[in-house]
Amino acid sequence: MDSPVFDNMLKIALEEALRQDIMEAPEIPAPSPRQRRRMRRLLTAPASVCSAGAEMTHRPRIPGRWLAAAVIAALLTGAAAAGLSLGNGAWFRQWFDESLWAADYYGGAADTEQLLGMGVEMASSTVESDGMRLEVFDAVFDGQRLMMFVRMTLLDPTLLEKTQRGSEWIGFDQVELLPEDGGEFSLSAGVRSLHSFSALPWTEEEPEEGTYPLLFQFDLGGLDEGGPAQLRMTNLILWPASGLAETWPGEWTLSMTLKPTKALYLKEKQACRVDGADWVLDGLSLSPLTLRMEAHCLSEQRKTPWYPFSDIAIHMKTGEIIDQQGCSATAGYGGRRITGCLDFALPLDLEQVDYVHLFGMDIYLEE
Amino acid sequence: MLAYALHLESGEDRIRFTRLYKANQKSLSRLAARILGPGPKAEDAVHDAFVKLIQRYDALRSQPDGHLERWLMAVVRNTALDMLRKDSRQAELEPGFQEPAVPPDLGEFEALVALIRTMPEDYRRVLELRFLAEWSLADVATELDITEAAVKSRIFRGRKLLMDALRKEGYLDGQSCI
Repeated sequence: MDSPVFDNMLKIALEEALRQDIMEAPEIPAPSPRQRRRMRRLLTAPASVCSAGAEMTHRPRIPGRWLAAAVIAALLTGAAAAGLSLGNGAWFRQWFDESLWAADYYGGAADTEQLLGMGVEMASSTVESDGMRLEVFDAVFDGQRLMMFVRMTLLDPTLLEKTQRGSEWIGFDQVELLPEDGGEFSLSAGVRSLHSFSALPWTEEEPEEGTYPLLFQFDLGGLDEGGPAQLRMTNLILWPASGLAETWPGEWTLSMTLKPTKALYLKEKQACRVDGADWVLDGLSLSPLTLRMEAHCLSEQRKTPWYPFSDIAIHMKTGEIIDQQGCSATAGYGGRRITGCLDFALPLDLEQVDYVHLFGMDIYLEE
Repeated sequence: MLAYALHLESGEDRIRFTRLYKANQKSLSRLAARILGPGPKAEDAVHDAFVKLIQRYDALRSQPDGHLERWLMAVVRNTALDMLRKDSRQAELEPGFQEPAVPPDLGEFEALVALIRTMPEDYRRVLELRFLAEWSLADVATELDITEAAVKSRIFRGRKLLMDALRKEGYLDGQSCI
């Protein structure tokens, strides 16, 4: 056997030897949280890992859950390949676990495992009518916030043809989350936030033409006891890159039961002073995904803080301090009232919450 | 350091890197665990291999995924062996170690694989980095902290060791014993 032939066989044999080493190795446990954090950092910011002494000095304000479409598409592709087997919180757990920097920042304050089985039972996970099919991949509800991941498939050839002409954006005329008894979910200070959904175009593999992943998020306006509910979507709106929007009429309803999980809240109102004015903190509720506050100013000449979470800090027994960085925040103003809602980049482990610092006060919450 | 910052800047590179990680992390962890035992050290060995992939990505970008996977396997094994050596303070194995035995009744290729799995680690590491990962002599020397001359020497002796063992069993130029 001449040398090049032997060397070629040697190369293949070296590889086979490694493979046999792997096959004979014992099964290993899942990567530790430390390793998962290291690899997340490596996968998302490789330069920072490879540059000796380099540190991440910039913490993005974009919350980790608003991932690039490619990541969502990749996750959805995997779920599709698995026959939509991800559900019961598993998809969202994986989604949060794929977050950019959050795992490193949150450390022991976060717990994504609690998402499994968190709060939603779908009575009907698929609806097909008016030329379109909607399928629920996964849903979680923590008592204040409902997140749903839905795949929209355009079935009608005419509808499909319209989108293939180049729709810049696809959405619904109306999206409602309603209790089954026809009422409304509990409101606080008259504010109900319906966070927008986003129809994300596929940027990676497109498993089917005319399919879109939709992410819905609802703020129920305070701690809710849950119960049977419906997600109702009305009339599809197609926004072209140029020209007028078109409406595709239809109504699609998905039924579910919302079951809240553990949450912490303020037992007694507290007086505080903000921006030189006297305020009363009327409510503060903390669930794994969300912190919500309500306050009103005592002075007629109220000074509304432009941003109610400028000094927010959730102190954990594990030592971490979770502030607004990486969170998505909204605020509502009405008269002398203000409400605010802070969405965390990762679900918090409420068992590890020590106290919340807000408006200059250290606030201890109770179950 | 600036050179590292140029790596994986493109989304395509990051997606590919992520795909390689997801496809190989488990098997590479098992390989490292086989040497170091399950635990943080084995995880570190895998992590370090992926860091090295990033550091060398410019040179490896054009390689197909299959080659990169073999490359990762070789690096993980070498990294794990380095860690083991540091932990156990093993003495450098001397060249000319006792030739490994060939299990009987194997074909030529299977015999070679068996020999590789039992040959001295210092020879196997050099052969893996040179033939499997396709590193240059200089890179292998840097990785193993030896001279290029030592790398060449170990390649020569490692190949010779394997070929001599195969011939002894009747393979290569000889008739098969089976």
